[in-house]
Amino acid sequence: MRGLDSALLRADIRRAFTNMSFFVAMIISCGLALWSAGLAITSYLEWQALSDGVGWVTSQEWVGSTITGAFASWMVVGAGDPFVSGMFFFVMPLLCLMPYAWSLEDDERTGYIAHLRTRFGNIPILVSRYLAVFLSSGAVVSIPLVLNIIVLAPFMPLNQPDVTTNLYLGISAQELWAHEFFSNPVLYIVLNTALDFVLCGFWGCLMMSISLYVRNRVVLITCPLVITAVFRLVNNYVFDVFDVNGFRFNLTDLLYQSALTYWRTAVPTACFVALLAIASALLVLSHRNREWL
Amino acid sequence: MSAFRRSIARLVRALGSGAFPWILAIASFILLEAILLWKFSLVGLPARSITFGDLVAAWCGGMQFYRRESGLPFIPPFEWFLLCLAMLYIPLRGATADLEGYGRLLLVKMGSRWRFWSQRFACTVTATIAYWLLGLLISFITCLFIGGRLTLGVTDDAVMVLLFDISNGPVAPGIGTKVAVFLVGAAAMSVALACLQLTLCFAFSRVVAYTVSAAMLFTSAFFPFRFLPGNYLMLARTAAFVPDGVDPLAGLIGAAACAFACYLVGGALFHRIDIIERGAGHDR
Repeated sequence: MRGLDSALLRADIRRAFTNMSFFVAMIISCGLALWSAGLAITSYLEWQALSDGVGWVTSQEWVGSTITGAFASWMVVGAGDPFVSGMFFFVMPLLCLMPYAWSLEDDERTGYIAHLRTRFGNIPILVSRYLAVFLSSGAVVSIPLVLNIIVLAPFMPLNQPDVTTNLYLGISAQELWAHEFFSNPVLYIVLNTALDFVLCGFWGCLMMSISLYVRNRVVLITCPLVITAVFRLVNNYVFDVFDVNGFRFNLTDLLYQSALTYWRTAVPTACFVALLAIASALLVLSHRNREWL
Repeated sequence: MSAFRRSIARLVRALGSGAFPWILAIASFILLEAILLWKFSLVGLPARSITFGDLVAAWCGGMQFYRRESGLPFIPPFEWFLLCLAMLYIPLRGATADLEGYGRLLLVKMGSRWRFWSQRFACTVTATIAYWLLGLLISFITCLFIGGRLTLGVTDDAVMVLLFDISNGPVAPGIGTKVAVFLVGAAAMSVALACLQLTLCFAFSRVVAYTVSAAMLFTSAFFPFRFLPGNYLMLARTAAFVPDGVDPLAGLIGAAACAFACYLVGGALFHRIDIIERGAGHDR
């Protein structure tokens, strides 16, 4: 039995990227990205007006060129707008599931999978669905992030971040890709977008696998938020209790740099991605002998 | 068995429906109170200095209003939101359950759709109030266990530890009464939200109802608007702690009006609904 059928994969990808839920998720996430960009640009223009002495008040504070630049104002760094960017990453564990992550449970209920099963084996069905969910969930987070920097770029300076202004940003040397941010910010954006894509992609696949075990739809929708909230709660307190220097190990805080918690370091981030990937793959494979009736 | 006794049995079933949200709520209450105790020990304060009000504030404190001009990143109140999700789920399961079988029989026995709707409404109200009573009970037991003071007053230490707005100076005297008023207002607002959820259950589906009520709480965490119900469920946002905070009494009046409107609208809706069709899809 083949592991993947290209026709089935094409059909799944087409369904994942052309359904109404995908458009709704994209409208919400892109709306938040544009809102965040708007706030950051407004903040920058207000700062410029103060610096230029427009009106009756001027600011003498020097904050360097980094903090008011497009790279620092990008949502993941969040210096321009900490508010909407925080909202964006808080809802993302739920939003990235909207396009296609719950489709397997839906299709089982409607009998679509049972029809597919007459033509394809279980493995091609599960693998193509896994890939389609991975791509659609990743797209929901990565496209708005790219849109955000595209909107910021024409309005704000794109100069290379200055490491001496790090006081205002709080990106420490131990943080993930801190060196890239100050040396090659475009690469930093590419790497972070890819990381968020992978995190949300695997998260979507994990929830897709769980959806076949949880029959209650309300629980199914609540499950991602509850899991992320519990993970975050444990992550934030367990290191404090043992009085050790901790690291981030939960989905919400790993998605962006500016979360006011522990450092986002390389090894725990890689371990978290691997954990999501392995758990989702194992759970999906656990359905390989499913009857779909 | 009379219809009334069946109704009571149904009420008990609704309250005990699904252990998961109750376990989640109890675990969260205990966890948040344990975190408060631990934070007190970190700053060198004895557990005996904690009051009953402090323990209550640990799980219904929420977060203070976010001020953009502070420049600090916004950190959503995950713990508070988790508890609210559990609170909203508790009455949800019983709302549209058993409509096609047992419920239909009960409806015939009762002889009136309005009576049946009133019974479902009472289940929802009772389940939501039970959540608040459970929280208070756990705080009370914890307070007795640690030898704390049995007063509803919130101490300055707790205000500092729970990251309430401390720019207004020390806690004013008579805060215990204000906390009591907050608890009544917050419970009433929760009931109103649960009633709205019940009405939406019959108007649309359980998923839509739950999503709408959760979304209202979620937006409350971000925005300080008075019409968002979540603001009345956070002690840190009441006028007792911030000058521009919400008034629990205003929330109480608004909640009562909302619950009454839901009763009327939901009842009228239930009067003409096809319960067989609704019941068959209740678990979706």
